[in-house]
Amino acid sequence: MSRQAAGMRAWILQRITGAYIALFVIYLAGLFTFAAPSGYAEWRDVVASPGVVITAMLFFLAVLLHAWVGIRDILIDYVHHAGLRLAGLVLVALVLLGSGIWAAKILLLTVHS
Amino acid sequence: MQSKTQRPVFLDLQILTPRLPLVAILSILNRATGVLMFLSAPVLIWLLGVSLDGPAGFARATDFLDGILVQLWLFVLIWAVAHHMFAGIRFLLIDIDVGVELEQARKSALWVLVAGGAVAAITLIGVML
Repeated sequence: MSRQAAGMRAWILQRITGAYIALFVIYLAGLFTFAAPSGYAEWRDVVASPGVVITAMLFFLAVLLHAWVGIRDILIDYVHHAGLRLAGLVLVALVLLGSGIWAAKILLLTVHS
Repeated sequence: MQSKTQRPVFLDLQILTPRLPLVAILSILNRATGVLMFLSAPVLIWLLGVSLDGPAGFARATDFLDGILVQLWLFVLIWAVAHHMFAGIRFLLIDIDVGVELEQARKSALWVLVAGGAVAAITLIGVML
């Protein structure tokens, strides 16, 4: 894929993931404002329900991709030293991948508890 | 022999535009709120894990959320999420050619700032009530 096409793909990805994240955040805001779980059992039941597990998995994936595009743009704009930039990008990628795996593991453990 | 005119001549073209236009402030804020959310994500995932780690974990999570510094962080984070979301909606509208003209772009930038601030204010009122 050409550099321009890769940039276009990132641009589209940023908008699709952004729209999905916005919808999920509105759901979360509604949940905690109007139906905040009062205890552990209620909270676990909310998180473990199939609809929430699937949409939350997609949410974490969307956040991972959205954050990668955004933070990558910022690093490329402000860090000009090639080595530092590469180190920064690798660090961000590792933090995001690690966070994504961690979040997925929490969701799956909750389903199986 | 010394030249009468001092060269190069510095033309302060900055005076033609506002020092920091609203749309530029919005762009900077979008990046700042994005970085804040990125840095906050691991803490939030940790908190999610603790809150789902049995009734004792849930109690630990709510205790953590009661801390005054944590509340301050959460407040800024809620504002950041709201602001970033409204700014994103504005970008999506500009993508489909709504509000591209400078005057409209300035106006919508102001609305994004107001809407983000309004969510923060409502949160603060909700916490105090």
